[in-house]
Amino acid sequence: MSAAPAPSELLTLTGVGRTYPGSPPVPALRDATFSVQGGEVLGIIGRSGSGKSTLLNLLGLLDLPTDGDYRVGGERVGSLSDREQTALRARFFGFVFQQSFLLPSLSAQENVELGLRPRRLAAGERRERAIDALGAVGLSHRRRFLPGHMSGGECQRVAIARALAQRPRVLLCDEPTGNLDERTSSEVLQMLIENQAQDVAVVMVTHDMGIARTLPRLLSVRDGLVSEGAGEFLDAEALPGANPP
Amino acid sequence: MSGLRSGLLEAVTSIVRHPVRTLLCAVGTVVAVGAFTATNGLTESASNAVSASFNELRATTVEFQGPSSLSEADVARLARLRGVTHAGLLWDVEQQQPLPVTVGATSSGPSQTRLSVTAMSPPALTAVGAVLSSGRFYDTGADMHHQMVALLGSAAASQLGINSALGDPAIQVSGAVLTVIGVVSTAQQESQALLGVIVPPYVAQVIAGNRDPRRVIARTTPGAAQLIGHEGPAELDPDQPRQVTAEVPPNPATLRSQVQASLSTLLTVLSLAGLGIGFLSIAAVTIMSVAQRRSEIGLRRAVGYGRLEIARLIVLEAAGVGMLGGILGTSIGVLATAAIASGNHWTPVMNTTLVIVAPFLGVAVGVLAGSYPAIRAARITPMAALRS
Repeated sequence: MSAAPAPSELLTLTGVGRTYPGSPPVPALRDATFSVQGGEVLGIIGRSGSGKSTLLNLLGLLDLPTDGDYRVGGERVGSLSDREQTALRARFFGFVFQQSFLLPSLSAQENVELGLRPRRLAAGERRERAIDALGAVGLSHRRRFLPGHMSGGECQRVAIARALAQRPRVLLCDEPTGNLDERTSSEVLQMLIENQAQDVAVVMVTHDMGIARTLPRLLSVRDGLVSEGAGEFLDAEALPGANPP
Repeated sequence: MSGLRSGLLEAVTSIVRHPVRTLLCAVGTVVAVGAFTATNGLTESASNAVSASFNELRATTVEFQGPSSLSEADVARLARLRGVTHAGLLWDVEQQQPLPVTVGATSSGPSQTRLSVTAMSPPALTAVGAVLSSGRFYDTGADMHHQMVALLGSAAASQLGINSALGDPAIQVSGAVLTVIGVVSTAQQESQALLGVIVPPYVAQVIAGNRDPRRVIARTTPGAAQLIGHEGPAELDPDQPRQVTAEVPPNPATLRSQVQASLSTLLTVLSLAGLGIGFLSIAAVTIMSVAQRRSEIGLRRAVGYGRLEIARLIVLEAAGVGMLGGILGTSIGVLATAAIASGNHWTPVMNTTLVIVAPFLGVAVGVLAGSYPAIRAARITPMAALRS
């Protein structure tokens, strides 16, 4: 039995685990218990293969837990159909991945609009939201450009705009600056953090302890176990096993 | 409804923005629908031309088979029937068994050749539409006066080394010396006779006696063949008409439909093969495209596209490509039909319903071919796709 979530808790995990089938089965995440509140900025750190991405995938409903209880906005995820999970994912989450995953045949604006298509918005509103989001990441002037004609940093900013345009309650970022240089990384990071003021929770997986230390709350993952705080990584400069750009 | 419209717009965008992929995907359908349209058009055109040709020749010819007692006097009775234009008696001497033939009047000539011998009365030569390349035909008088003459088919003449009937060359057939008075180059019917020797009835009896069953060829006016076929046996053998059988050409209308039916079978086989190629082409390219677009599909799933929407997008794209291929293929098929028919001096005939329906056939092929890749795409989980 789990306690009912507090009203401000967007995400609540109680004893959540994910075991991948195999011989023997691989427990990638065990007994994760924590919650994320609106407007909160949370970093997830850990070595490569520790279970960080598994945790992020579970949080964003890209994968489902095999154990425990996970609630999104009070709704128990395990009892939802695939269609309901998809709808909840679209309504609640915005994703920024290490790669921008922009469609090369679509312009920056069309890529941002792509994230809004499942919402059944009118074309005008979709366009307006996309232009606003591109403005927020400083790319209004590049909205008609194809990804092939933009830099890596600009592409990543388009990916952030795509996530922001969805007006998510939670922004899930998996190494969002992993492919970028230091200066661009800090610009992108700044954009992501600024969303805190708009009551959007930001959950960010990172290897960069420099970035991690700037975040108000950290979770560390080690061998599939999640614990509050930086733990053993507190004094590290960077965590080993960062994905190469 | 808005979901479908949005899906259609996305499919059109994808088709337009990936011209190479679209072209590769559409090639099979263009070929398939083009072949389908062209085959249909050519079948219609050819059927028209073929049946017209059959109407002229086959539909005005009746062939009777009877006993060896049938004579030219019997055939003369048949020729008097209203609707008969020509009638002649003929038979295969020794049942078409090749007989020894040598060139020259003496048996010490060059080595023997074995050739078939056909007996034809002078009216039969007219009835089968024989045409001479040299010399002359024998006439009724020659037969009545027991002249030992013969005609050679062009193939037989060439085999015997006789280039023309000039100088009345002699041949021996089973020991009988015959004067070659003409070489027959073509015949509308009984063309197998051109492979051998053609002789008057009297000569045939000298060579092989009077044992072989007779045939009578009757040419009729258009539309009279059925009636002549019905009444002919009684005229040829009033005492035992059942001994005479008639081979009547099919009714022109029936013939036309038979020609169309047999060509339709060809059409169906070719069309199905073509559509099969189109199906495989779209299916293969779409499966490949889905594999290449895994991260795109993963991203779409992550931002909220459901499995159904992903499947619909893939099917709509395949249907769009199918339609494009269908329109192009139909246009090419119509042009090819017009060009080939004109080249053959046929009247180009196209089924307009088919021309309208053909592009939708491309759509149907696209939908069917896109279904399996769509199901595969819908099964891709966002996590697996984004990780790849």
